[in-house]
Amino acid sequence: MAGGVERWVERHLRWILPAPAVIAMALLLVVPLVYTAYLSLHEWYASSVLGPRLVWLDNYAQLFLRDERFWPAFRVTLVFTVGAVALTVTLGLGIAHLLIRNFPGRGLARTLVLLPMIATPVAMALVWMTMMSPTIGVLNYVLRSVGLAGSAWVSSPRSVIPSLLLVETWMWTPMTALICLAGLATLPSEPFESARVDGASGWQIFWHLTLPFMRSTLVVAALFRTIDALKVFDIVYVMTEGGPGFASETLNLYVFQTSFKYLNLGYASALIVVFFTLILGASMLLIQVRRSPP
Amino acid sequence: MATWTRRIALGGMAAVLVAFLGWSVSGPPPVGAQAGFDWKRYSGKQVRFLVNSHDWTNEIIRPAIPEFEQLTGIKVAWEIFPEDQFRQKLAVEMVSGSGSVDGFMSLTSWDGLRFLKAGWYEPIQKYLSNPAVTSPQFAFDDFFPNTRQIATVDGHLIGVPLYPEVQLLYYRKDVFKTKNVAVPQTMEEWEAAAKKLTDKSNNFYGYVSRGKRSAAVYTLAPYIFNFGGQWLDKDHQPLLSSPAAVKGLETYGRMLREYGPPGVVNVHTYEVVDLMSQGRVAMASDSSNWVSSFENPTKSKVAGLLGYARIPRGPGGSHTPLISWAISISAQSKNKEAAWYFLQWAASREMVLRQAKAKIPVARKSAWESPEFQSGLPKEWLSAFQATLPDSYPNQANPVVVAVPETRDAIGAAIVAVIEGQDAKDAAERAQKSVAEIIKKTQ
Repeated sequence: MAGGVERWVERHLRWILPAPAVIAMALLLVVPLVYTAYLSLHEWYASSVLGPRLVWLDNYAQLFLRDERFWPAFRVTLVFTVGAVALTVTLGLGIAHLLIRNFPGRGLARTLVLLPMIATPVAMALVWMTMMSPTIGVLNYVLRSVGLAGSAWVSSPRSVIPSLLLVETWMWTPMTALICLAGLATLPSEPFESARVDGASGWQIFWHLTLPFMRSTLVVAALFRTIDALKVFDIVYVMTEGGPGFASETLNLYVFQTSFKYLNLGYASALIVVFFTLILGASMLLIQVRRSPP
Repeated sequence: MATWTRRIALGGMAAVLVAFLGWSVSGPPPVGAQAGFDWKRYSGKQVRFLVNSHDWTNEIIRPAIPEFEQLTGIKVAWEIFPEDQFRQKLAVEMVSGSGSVDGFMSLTSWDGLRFLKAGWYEPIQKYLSNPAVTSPQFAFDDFFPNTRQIATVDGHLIGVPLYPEVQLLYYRKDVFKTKNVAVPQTMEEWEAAAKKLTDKSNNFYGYVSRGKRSAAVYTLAPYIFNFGGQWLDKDHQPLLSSPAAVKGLETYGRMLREYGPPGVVNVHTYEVVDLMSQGRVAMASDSSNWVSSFENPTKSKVAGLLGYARIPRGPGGSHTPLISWAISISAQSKNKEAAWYFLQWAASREMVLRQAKAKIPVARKSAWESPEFQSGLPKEWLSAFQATLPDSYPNQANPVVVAVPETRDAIGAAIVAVIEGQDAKDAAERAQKSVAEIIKKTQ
C-alpha cells in the first residue's frame, strides 16, 4: 500500500509540490475578486442590518450614466497617470544617464538621489503640504522673494493636479532612474564604440542606439509607474482628500470614500471592478508593447 | 468552593478599600457614594465600550475607570479609536450582531439617524425613569435643555450628551481697535468689517472659516439659519435651493473669496486655528472648542488678544448648530443595566465636574456654573457661549439624514464652487438635486 502511495506521489510530484502555493494564491486572489464582483451586483450598506439586496447591473448603470463623480474621477486618474509616467520615466532616464558616468562622489550622488523614494510617502506628503501652503508655506515665500507671484498650489482646482504631479515626480523619479541605471549598465559597449568611430553625434547615438536598446527597460519602468500612478492614493488623500471640491479625486480615492466613509459597499464593489479592469487593461497593453518587435 | 471564598475575600478587600478611600479623601465624597442607591447591584458583570479618541475619553474617563470598578464591581473594557477607525470598527462589530459591544459613542449630528435606523441604540428613557437603576443624584434635568436634545434622535432619547459645542465669532481685539472697527452685530456689519480689516498687501485677511468640501458644511450652517433657512423641511426633504439657503451660501462664499486667505478651499478647522493663532486673520467663525488653543501662549501668538462674540444675526436671528458626542447603550448588549450604570457614572455630577476642571465644555448646568470651570476661561467666551446656547439648533451641523458623509460632500462641493466664483443659485440647485437623490436612495 505504502509503496503505492509513494509511487503516486512520485508520479504527480509536479502537481503536488506547487499545489499549496496555487491554493493559497487562489484563496487570496480569486476568492476576494469573485466576492467583489458578486457584491457589485448588490445594494449593501455596511451599517445596515439588512443583508445585500440583489440589484443586478443597477450599480453599473448608475456609475456610467448618472454618477456625477465617476467620469471626473476617471479623467483625473488618466491625466495624472499619463503625466506621472511621462515625467518620471523621462527624468529617470535623464538622471540615469548622468549617474552612469564616472565622476568623483558618484556613490554618494546615487544614494542621495534615492532618498525621496525611501522616505515615507505620508510623511513626505505632509511636508509638501506645509511647504505648499499659500499663506505660510515656504514655496510661495521663495517665489515672492525672487519677484514672482505665489501659486495656490493644491488649494486651487486649476493648479492642484500639476502640484500633485510635482510631488509624485519628486517621489518616484528615483525608482525609474534606478531601473534605467540597471538597463544602461547592461548595454553592450561595441555598438556605441563603433558609432563614435563613425562620427555619430551624442544625440544620434541616444536616438538610434540607446533608446532602441533600452526599449524593454523603459517599458518595464512605464509599466510599474502606470500601475502605481493609476492606484495613487496616499499623497492625494493626505494633501487634498480629492479637493478642492472634487478636482483631484482619483478613482482610488472615490472607491475609498464610497466604501469607508459612505459605507456603501455594493456600489464601491462596482467601482472596484471597473477600476480593476482599467488597471488590468493598461498593464496588458504595456506588456503587449514590450513583446511586439519595434 | 475555592472560587467562592476567593470572590468573597476579594469583594471584602474591595469594600474595605472603598470605605478607606471614602474616609481618607477629604473634600467631595467619591463619585456616587450616596446612601440609598445600590451601586453594587450588577457587581461581577462586564461591559465593553467602543469610543472615539478625545481628551474626555483619554484623560477624564480612562484613568477613572478603576474607581467605577470599585464602586460597582462591574468590569469595564474601554476601547479608544481615532474617529474614522472608530466608525469602521463599530460598524463591523454591530453588523456582525455578536452582542459583544455594550455601549459606544456617537456624534449624533453625524451618526444619529444612521445608527437609529440600523437599530443600534437602546433608548434610555426607561432606565432614566426607573429609580431601581438610576441614582437620584443623576438628575438629568441638570443638563441644559438644548443639550438633552442633542441626544434625542427622531424623538428617541438615545444616550447622554458629553461635551457640547456651538459656533462663535473669534476676533482680534487689538486689530479692531487700531482699525476702529466695532464688533459686528449683523451679517451686513460682519461683511463690512471683514472688508475693512483685510490688508492683502501685508498678507493679512479679514475673515476665515472652513472652505474645505465636507468640513465647510458645518460653518456654512449659521449663514443659512441666520438668513432664515433650514437644512430640511418637515418631510425630511432638502431646502438647499430655498432663497435663504442660496443667500447664505452666496454670502459665505463671497466673504471667504474676497476677505479670506488664498487657498481657502483647502482650509479645514485646523487651518482656521493655525491662521488665527499665527495672527494672519482678524476674524474667524468656528467651533467654540478652540478657546484653549487660542489662549495657550505656547501654541498661539494671539493669546490674550482675542475677543469672543455670538455669530452676527441676520433676518432669521442668530443660530448656530449645537453638537456633541453622546454615549449610548448598544441595543445588542446583554448587560444593558450594567452599561447604563456606567453611563450614569461617566455623566454624573462629579465626573462632569472633573471634566469642567480640565476645561472641557460640559452639558451640565451645575458643572458649567462651578467656579472650577468659570475661572481661567475668558469671561467673554463664557458669556458668548451661554448667549448662543438657547438659540442654537441641536445636531443641525448638516442635514440630519442617514447618509451624512455623502450629503456633506454634495453640499461641500457647492460651497467650494461658490468660493471659486460660480453662481450660488446654480451650485445650490445642484446640491439640492444630489442631496434629494441621496435621501431617496438611503431613507
